[in-house]
Parts: sequence; structure tokens; C-alpha cells
Amino acid sequence: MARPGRFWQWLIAALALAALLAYLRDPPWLGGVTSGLSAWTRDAGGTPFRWTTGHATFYVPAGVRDLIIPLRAIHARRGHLPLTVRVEVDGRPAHALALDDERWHEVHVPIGAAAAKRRHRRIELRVNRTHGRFYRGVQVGELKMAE
Amino acid sequence: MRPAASTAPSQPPRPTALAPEAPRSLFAAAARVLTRAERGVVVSLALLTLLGYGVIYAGGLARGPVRSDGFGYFIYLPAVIVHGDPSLERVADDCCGGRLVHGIARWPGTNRFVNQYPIGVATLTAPVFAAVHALSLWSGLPTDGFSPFYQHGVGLCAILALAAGLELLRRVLRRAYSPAIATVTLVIITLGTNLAHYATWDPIYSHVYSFALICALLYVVPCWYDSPTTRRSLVLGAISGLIVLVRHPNALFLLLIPLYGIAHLDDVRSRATLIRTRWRGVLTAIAAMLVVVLPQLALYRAATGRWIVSTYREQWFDFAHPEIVNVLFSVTKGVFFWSPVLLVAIAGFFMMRGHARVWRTAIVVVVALHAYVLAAWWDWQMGASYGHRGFTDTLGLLALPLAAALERAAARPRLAAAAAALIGAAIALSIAQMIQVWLGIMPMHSVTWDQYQRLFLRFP
Repeated sequence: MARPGRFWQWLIAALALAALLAYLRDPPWLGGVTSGLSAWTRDAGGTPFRWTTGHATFYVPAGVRDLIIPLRAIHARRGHLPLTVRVEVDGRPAHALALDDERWHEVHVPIGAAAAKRRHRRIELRVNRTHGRFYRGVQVGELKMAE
Repeated sequence: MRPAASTAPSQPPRPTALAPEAPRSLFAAAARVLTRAERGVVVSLALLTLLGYGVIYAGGLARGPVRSDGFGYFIYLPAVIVHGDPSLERVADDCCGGRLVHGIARWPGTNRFVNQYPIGVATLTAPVFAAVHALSLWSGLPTDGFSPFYQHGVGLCAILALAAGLELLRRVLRRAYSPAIATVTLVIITLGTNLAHYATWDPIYSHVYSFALICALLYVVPCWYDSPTTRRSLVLGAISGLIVLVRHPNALFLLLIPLYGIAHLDDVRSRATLIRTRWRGVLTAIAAMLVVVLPQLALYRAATGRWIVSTYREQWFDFAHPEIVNVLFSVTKGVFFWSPVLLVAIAGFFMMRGHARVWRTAIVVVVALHAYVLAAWWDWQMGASYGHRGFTDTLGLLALPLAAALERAAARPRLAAAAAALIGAAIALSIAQMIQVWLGIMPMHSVTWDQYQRLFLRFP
């Protein structure tokens, strides 16, 4: 009875795949995922930060309504052009700023209502310039969130 | 795809101490164990390598797999699959502030990006990258093409390439050698050299893919000579094209095809006649190869205005002053210094017989030329690496004479015992030194004899 046995194998495989995709649709561990961010380090004053590349992604819980992102640009002005950072929430533009000094700036990002019901909101930082062989963009400090 | 009949003079394998009909002894027992082990040796070596991969990245010994040369091989994937732009402009704007470094520069005149790393590795790993991209879109994961999911999805393809290469090599070895010899040879090639390093620490470098493709060539060429069907010609051409696509200087390895079975000058004339009579198969293979290579040529044309370019603009060959002794024997990066077990392969060249012997001339010529080209490169060390990574691509070729030496040793019990002890020590040393490199104890380039002595088998 090879054919019925094969049918059940395919059915089980399809159900397993469907279950895996359902689980991965909104995984609970997404909050810990980042991309385009270096490991944590500290500046001379002891402030912890991470470097971004030209495009960094991280996640905040869906209940967060206000997000404050500390940003600092090193070598902010190159050829008289400021370094710009665009902030996106779930792929939609939320904020943009130009950094033309090397101080810490706290960027306030209001998190609007989500288009889809998910556990986390995706925050992306897009930097127009990088430097060095590791494509360093801006420094990002510890986030402050309000629900 | 098996050869219908070997075109090589074949001799039955001589009974050895590792043959089933040998007297009951420790060696007969070892032979039985190794023969049974042959079934699972490829999977076992792949799993062991996977363990090494996990130790490196879960243990934080290295940043993500996409770094250094790996970035150059990888960048085509987000460029094409995420951004739909093979020119690299959009991916550069997205990831890197509009600039790309380390082997990627703007071509004078056109101002377009030219990448010195070709598209072969990206081509082979594209299906996995595309699957990860689809999953990332579905899950809400980062879709920039550089998240850890993309990087490790592609990085783990190196384990698959290693397994595929070892399986093909196992089949090649089994045409001439016993299961026990094939098993031991595969273990030595994987663990006694830097092959495992290039499937784990630098998995997006080209070397493990070149290794697998050259093993595929070893497997397919006898089949083609036996019967150059359209299908076999297409496969031969595709493999040849991929070898060039993964690393352009490895076009040298295509000499294996015309040199297969050549032992005397008379063979050259009869080979020329054979090629002429099989012109359809030859043209089919060449056409298949050109189809595979065409996308790379099209990229060069779009970026530079020329179909064929040298992408190494500030790097050069010095064929008049090759560093032969250094690439072979130096403590800095000598292949025999860092993989001493390969000296057994050199001895094995004089012991090859039967189906393996038909490869001898081809392997000697290709490996010698390859060594010369590596030695003539301005950076004969080939940068930071474990052992000399230029020779990683040749390990499938060296497996055949290595197996011949093992077979000869196995026929003499005392010699076999001594060989087993020495080879075991060489494998242990290779693994230990590889781990030293992973831990940052042993430098990855420009090692001096004083440094080596001071750091020999030192661990924290």
C-alpha cells in the first residue's frame, strides 16, 4: 500500500509546514532580533551605544506609543553635507533629521497605530553616509519607551 | 551517472590488509569497521563541521559569516533578490551609505561598481537566500538582506557544499579503492587540512564551493568519455562554467578534461582524434559553459563597457618570481607546513594504479600549474587565512594519490600502524591549530618561526 502511505507523508509534511508558517507569522522572539547594529560598546564617558550600518532594524513591543532614540554622528560633516537619518516604523516614514555635530541627540518618534496586529513594531534607521571598512553610520544609545 | 565502462586500463584491486579476505587480525577488524563506516562518513563529517559552525557563531568567536572577502561574494544576493538591481547601486545606497569597499570599486570612465569577486557563490546560494527572503517578508523579520537569518542561511550552504563534494569524491574514490580506504581518505581530507575551516569560519568564501565543483568534475569526466550523451555534455559544461563562475583563475582546472587518461605523447594524438569525432558533445559542453558564464560577462559589460576585464586593478602576478618554496613549505603559509598530511599525497603520486592512475598526469599538471599561479600572486599568502587557502580547491585532486599511498601502506601491517599513528597526529595537529586560529591565538597571516614556536599548541 505504497500510495496511501505516501499521501499521508505528504499530508503530514504539508500540515507541519503550515504550522511552522503560522508560528513564524508573528514569532514571540522577534523583539530580540536586530540587523545592521554592532555589539554594544561604551564611549569615553561610559555611555553605552551601538553603531549602525547604513540600514539598521530593531523591534519594540506593540504597546509602545512613544519611542526616544538617542543618536550621535561622528564625522557628521563631510564636504559640508550633514549626515541624515530617516526613521521608519513598519516600513512607513516616521521621522527624519540631519546631524551636523557630534553631540547626542534624542529623537522622539511617535509610534502610531499599527496596520496589522502583531506583537512587535519594526523600527528602521536609514543613514545617508557611512565611514570605514565596517560601514559605520551613527551611534545609537539605549532606547526609552513609553506605552 | 556512472561510467558505462571505464576507458582506463583496469586492474582488480590487490588484496591488502584492509581487504575482507585478509587473515583475521586487528587490521581485518579495522577494515570491517571502516567499510561499514563508509555509509555514514559523509553525513558524519558534515555534522561535525556543522558543530564547528555552531561553536564559532553561537560561541561568538566570529561576527556574522558575511565579512571580508565573504562580503564581496555575498553582496550580489541582496542586490538582485532584495533590490532587483545587479549594478550594486541600490544595495550600496541601502546598506552602506552609497559606498562599497574591499574589492568593490567604481570603474574609471563609467563610474559603475565593479566587484572583483565573481557571482558564482551567490548563484549557487541564491535559492536559499530567496527562501530566507520570502520567510522574512512573511514573518516581519528584517528584509535588508543582511540580517543574521540571511547570513547564516547562506553560511550554512557551505556545509551542504562540503557534503556534496565529499559524496562525489567518495564515489570517485570508490571507482579505484576499497570502502575502508575511501573512508579514511575523506576523513583526512576534511579534518587534516583547512577544508573544514572554509566550511565554517569563512563559509562564504569560494573555496568549499570550488572543492565541491572540482570533485563533481572528477566524477563526471570519466562518464563523459565513456559516453558523451547530450545530457552528460550539458552537465559537464555546466560544471565547467560554474567552476569559472565561482573563481575565474580556476579555469585552469578545466585542463583536467582534455588531460584525463593521458599518460604518453601517443595518448595526446589519440585524444585529439577522439575530441574531433565527438565534436557534437564538445560543442554542447562549451555552449552550456558559455550559458552559465554569460551573466558574469554581461555584468562586466554593463559596468565597464567590456565583456572581459581584469577586476584586480591594483593587484598583479609576478610570473618571473614565483614564491614556490614559500607557498609550499614556509611557516608563514606553506601548504605542507600547515597540512603536513598532504605530503602523503605527494608520495602517493608514484603509487597510483588502475582507475586512479588515469588521472595522474592530469592531476600533476593541474596542481603544479595551480601552485605556480598561486606562488606568482603578489600576495602569495592570500591574506588572512588558515593554511594556504589557494590549495583548498585542489583537495579533491590530492585525495586520489593520498588514497593510493594509504592503500600501499595498508598492505604492510607495520607500515600501516606507523602511518596510522603519524596521520592521526597530523589530523590532531591540524584541528588544534585551526582552533587556535579561531580563538585568535595563532595569527592568520605573516606567522614567523619564532611566533609559531612560542604559540605551538598553546591554549588559554
